[in-house]
Amino acid sequence: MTDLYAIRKTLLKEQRRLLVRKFFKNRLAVTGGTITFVMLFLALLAPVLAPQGPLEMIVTDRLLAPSAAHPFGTDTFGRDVFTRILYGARVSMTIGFFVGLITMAAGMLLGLLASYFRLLDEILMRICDGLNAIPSTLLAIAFMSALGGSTTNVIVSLSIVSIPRMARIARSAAVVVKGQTYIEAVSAAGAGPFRILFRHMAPNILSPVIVQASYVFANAIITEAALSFLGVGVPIPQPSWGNILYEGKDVIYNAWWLIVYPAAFTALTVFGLNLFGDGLRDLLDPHTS
Amino acid sequence: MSEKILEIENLSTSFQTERGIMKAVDGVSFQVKKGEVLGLVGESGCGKSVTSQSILRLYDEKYTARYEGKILFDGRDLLALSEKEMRKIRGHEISMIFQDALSSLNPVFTIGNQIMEPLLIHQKLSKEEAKKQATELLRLVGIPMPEKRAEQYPHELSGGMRQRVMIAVALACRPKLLIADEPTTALDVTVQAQIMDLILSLNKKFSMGVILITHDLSVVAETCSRVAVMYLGQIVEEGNVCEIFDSPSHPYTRGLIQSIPRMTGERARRLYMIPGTVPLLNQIPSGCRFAPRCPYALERCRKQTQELLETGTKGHRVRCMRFTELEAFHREKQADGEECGI
Amino acid sequence: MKKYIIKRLLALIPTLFVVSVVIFSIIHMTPGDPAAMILGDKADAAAVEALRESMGLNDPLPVQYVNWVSRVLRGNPGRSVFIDKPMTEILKDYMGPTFALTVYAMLLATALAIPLGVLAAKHRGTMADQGISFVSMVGISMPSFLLGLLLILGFAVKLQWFPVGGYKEFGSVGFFVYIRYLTLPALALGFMEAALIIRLTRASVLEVLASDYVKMAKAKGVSEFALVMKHAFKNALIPILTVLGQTFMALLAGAAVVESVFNIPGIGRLTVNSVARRDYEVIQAVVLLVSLINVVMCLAVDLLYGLVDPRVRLED
Repeated sequence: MTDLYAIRKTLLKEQRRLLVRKFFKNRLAVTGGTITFVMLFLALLAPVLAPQGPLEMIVTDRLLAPSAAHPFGTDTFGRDVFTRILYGARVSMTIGFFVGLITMAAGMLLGLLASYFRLLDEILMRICDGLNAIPSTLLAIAFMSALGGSTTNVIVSLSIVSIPRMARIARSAAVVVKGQTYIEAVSAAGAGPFRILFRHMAPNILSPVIVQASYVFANAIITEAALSFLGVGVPIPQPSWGNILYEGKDVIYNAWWLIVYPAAFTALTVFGLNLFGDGLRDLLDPHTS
Repeated sequence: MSEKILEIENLSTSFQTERGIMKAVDGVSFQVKKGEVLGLVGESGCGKSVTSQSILRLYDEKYTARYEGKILFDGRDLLALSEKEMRKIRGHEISMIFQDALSSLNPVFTIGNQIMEPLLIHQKLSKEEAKKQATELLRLVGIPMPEKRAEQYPHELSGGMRQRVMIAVALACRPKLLIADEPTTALDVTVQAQIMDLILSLNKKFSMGVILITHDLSVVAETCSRVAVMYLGQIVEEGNVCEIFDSPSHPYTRGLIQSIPRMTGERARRLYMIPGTVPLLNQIPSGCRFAPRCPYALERCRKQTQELLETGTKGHRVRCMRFTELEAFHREKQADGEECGI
Repeated sequence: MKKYIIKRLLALIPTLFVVSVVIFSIIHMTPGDPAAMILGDKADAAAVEALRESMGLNDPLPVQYVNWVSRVLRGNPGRSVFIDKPMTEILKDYMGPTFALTVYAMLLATALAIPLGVLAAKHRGTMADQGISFVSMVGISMPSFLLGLLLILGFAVKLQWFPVGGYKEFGSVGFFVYIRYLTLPALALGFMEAALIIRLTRASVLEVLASDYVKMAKAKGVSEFALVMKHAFKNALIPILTVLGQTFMALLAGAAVVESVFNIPGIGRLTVNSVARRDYEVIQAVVLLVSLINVVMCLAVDLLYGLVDPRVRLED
């Protein structure tokens, strides 16, 4: 048994090395990955790169067009838009990352349990069906209206609305893995259900789950921007991309830069994540593409 | 009986793939006479299906496939025809039956609809006439209650029925040549025999030429008048059926024949297996293509390429430089009684 | 068929139960007392208590749930604290613009996307295919409200071809003005869905074109055009059809955001405004309405599926 296990492990390692090589050959995936990393980098280094504080208002510098001093111009309160976009990247990346992570963890847990316990499966899947029947944007708006605007609440709401789909994906992957011979072998060797689920099955359903997580990440960034734009997300004056757009909409006749730059950053980030996700899917999950 | 309807000269088909250009058929030549059944035999991947689909030019010529050589049908070179002229040949003068009837019949159209289609295209019949003929065709291929069946969808029929429907589609316009690509492989043994009988009886009735593609030599022995054996995109032996079965000249053909299970003789004898597997198209060996798997290969076999040689018997050709030596060798061996006779 | 429909209807019961529980609980997710939240900080204790009583908040939760469900079933899904009209009337008033916007966006999206997807599949690997693929890749990364803002900036503020926003009644302004007001919002709303449909159509047609039955049809002498339009399209339509139901729902839900960008008085704007006014029962009613439409839509698509794909009928 241990022998088999060791062999599987070395095989997996070998496979991973091959996958990394293949990944760098996939031009789209590399482009997407690069965009994503640049955004993460900007978000992390925002305090170093930003010329101004994100909330610092210079009243004499209101609604200035882009210039050398303010590469993306200034807003109604004389705040530097470039600075706010950098800090906005922090908000977006934080929300995207945590929503991705929570969704992945919870989805995998539920999916694995559902694949093993039949009654639980029935119940969980009915709940997923129900939650899926409610359009996610509307549900997120409703949750936010009840919880109140804050970064944490955005993370909670977006996680709740994206878990059902993740759980479904994890479950169907787990059902396939469960039917395979080595799992039967492990269970015949007397391993308990939790050992089977978390030690033997979990690593083998990671591929589709990670691919889905990258889409959840992208979707969380979009939805956060939308919620903030509607005034039900991250509260102003915090610098989120959606908030910059929300404030920019009122002065759309005078200050195009308040729309174009945050829009471009949001779209580019999502574009990068989508490419990255597609690349991952081609790599890890070739039959679904 | 001697009128040639199909004459293939030096046909090559190559595909543009991610791993470069692959030549799936390499310099194949053969003929089919009116009313004759020709067997095209070989393991999977030998190019027999590609050859047959090349005759109808079914591969996508814009992006992937390239044909070379000549395919003379009724004196016209099919490879020189325009796409529009080619369309008038397909399903009209040359028809094809595919291996898997379930995936080859369109799931969203009724059986009747699919049989009517060639009639509507080629014979410009009215809908009612086409419908009437479609019912007739279903009756011809032995389907009971044809009126009812015509209204059904492919998934509602059994495997044998579906194969009969495919034959009905192929025969709709009374083609001069029928290409049957593994027509019975996906079927039960009892149904296999029925379908083969049907094809043969129709072959006699309409005296159309048939190319029967199969990997099953026992089917060939029962049905064909002549056989061409293919290996890795080339014909390695060709001749009439008795000739090939009685004195196979190529080691590959011999191997294929020896691997047929037999009802007579000693039961304990193990079936012969040709060693190794068919190489991939991008790893074609130099010299004789069969050499790496051939028990009789010599140094020169691996170095020189060999064209088809006449064996002396009329119409019997073989691609083996040692065939005379081997013939003598096998005759001796048989005389010694070491090997059960064929 | 009948059996199948009954089975599907029965399967709806647990789904609807979960939907109703989730929507019911929205109001109870508020930190603290919903009545106090609604009335704001300055309200006096007696007023809060009165509202609690009238909303039934003093009852135990299961009783509240049952009361709420029975009210909904009798066609009275709550009261707005802000708009003095029965809820059904409010929903009816606001549904019109949303529905018009959704249908228009749907028409734009499918009318563009399906032909483009078929075109890309038919000419795969060419410049046209790559161009279409690139546009659709950009499209799926462009959320509707971003595109909406950019469209306003380009076509309304700079070029002034279209109004910046707002909504005109069809009856009072005539078709052309009506459409002019809805075009930018519909484009913004439909673009991402169009991009998804292009990708799906292309993949689906390509898969079908590689199938045995298309090869067989070619062997029958069917022309290239009929091969794609007759043999491939009807089969490729099957996956596309399932997605069209989802598309419609995505558009209906997405309208919430686009309506706010373009100031269109639909249920989406209503929801967002209700959030600001803490008008929870309106939010509940809207979410419930859209979810019910979704459920009915899914059922309709499933049944339609059986009409296009003869293989489905057997599986009941």
